[in-house]
Amino acid sequence: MMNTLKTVLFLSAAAMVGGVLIMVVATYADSPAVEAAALGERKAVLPAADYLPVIPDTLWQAFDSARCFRGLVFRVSPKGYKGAIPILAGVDTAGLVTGVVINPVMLHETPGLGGKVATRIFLDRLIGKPAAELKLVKDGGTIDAISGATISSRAVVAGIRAGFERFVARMIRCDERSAVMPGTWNMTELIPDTLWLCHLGPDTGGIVFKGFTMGYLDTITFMAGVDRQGWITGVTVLSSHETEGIGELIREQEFLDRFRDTIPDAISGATMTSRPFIKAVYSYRERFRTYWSR
Amino acid sequence: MNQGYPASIPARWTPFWLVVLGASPVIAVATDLIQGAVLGASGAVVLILAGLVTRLARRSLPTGALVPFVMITAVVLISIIGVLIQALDPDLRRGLGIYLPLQAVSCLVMALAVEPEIKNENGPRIRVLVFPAVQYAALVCALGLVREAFGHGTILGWPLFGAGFQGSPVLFLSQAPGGFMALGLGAGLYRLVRQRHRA
Repeated sequence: MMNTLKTVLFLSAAAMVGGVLIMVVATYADSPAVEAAALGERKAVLPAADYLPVIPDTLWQAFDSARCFRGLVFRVSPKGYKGAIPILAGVDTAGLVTGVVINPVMLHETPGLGGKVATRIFLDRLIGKPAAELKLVKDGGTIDAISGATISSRAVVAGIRAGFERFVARMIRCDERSAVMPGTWNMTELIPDTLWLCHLGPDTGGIVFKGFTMGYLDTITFMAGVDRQGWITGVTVLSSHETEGIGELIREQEFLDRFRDTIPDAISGATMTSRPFIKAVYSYRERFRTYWSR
Repeated sequence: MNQGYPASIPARWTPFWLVVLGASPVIAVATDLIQGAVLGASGAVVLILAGLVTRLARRSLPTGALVPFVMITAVVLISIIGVLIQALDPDLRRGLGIYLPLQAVSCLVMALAVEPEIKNENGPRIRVLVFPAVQYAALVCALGLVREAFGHGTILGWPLFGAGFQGSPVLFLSQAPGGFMALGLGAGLYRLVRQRHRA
């Protein structure tokens, strides 16, 4: 009896220590590398600076470093000859395929035949083609199937086409407004050419406004986005005629990015330009408070 | 404690059937060299470490707790390796699926081979602890190599029979049951060679 109890206690203790060990390792070894690898895959199909997840692990909106919309990256798993084919595809703003990756480890197609859909030989045939019109030559399209693997080839081509049709509504018009309010695909104009209401989701979104102020030499026109919490999501200068190399520094992305974290300091040497500009951005934000805080 | 395990116990090869039995949980996915190597290496590391840990803890082990303790140690170690592989190469981890943690079963079977050494009071012989693990790794690795070469016609993804070669030389070898067939064929071949050798 005593021995049984001893055994039970000993093994429980051992299991508990083991559990803690696993937890410790998992905490340190987890997400960053996984996220980095997944990010690398997205970069391979559509190079961009930032990927905004729209549907977790399924759909991303890609933005370049100027926070301008570049296209969609999506994951689809159409049924192939033997199982689901795991596809990650990128489509640019014109609807052209920018890249496709199929993870060979997850692929169950016949090796050497259907399995070849995961190779560059096949996938490179899709690049630059309009995603909405992807079809095999046999089906009246332009893509050559892998000989002897029509079913697998068709599954890939049709899968990307179906994914594009499903997600095309998430394309964003690329202009200054989406640059200052990333992730927006739907805007309502509240004041003509001045104020727009952005819908991102039920709880997110905000406003985008156009404003102007007097700089050192001339008028500066700018556009800025403010989210529901009052944070500035982005600022861009539409027009300015300040001193080259001094006042014009307000157009630097590095300076404009500072608005997202805090109230930026005036640029030293260009105080006469940057101070009224910074002041104007915040006074416009206050002016439109009723729109973003409701 | 010491009876039945004299110091002179020979460090001989673990019986082939035991290694095959140990490897059987992972045979389904060892379809190419990389997967075979990862499975074999992780299994071997876990087996060796579990043996060492159990050996260190042998004095405090209650009677009859040795095998469950080996199992717990193996499960913990293989989970940690799983987490690490997931962090380094998520695709590989997804490809290995359930079969990586399933190696705990392999370790349990293979623990039969190292059990005497764990209890050996005349000092540990690392060789005896390591031998079965190396055999296990070699078998799974070789299986992956053979199945990739003849099932897919490639080695590490490089075509073996020229770029123009289409299809698979021996298709069933690349499928899950093909692992057992490859093992059976290998065992048969081994027997044949040995018989010839003796005659």
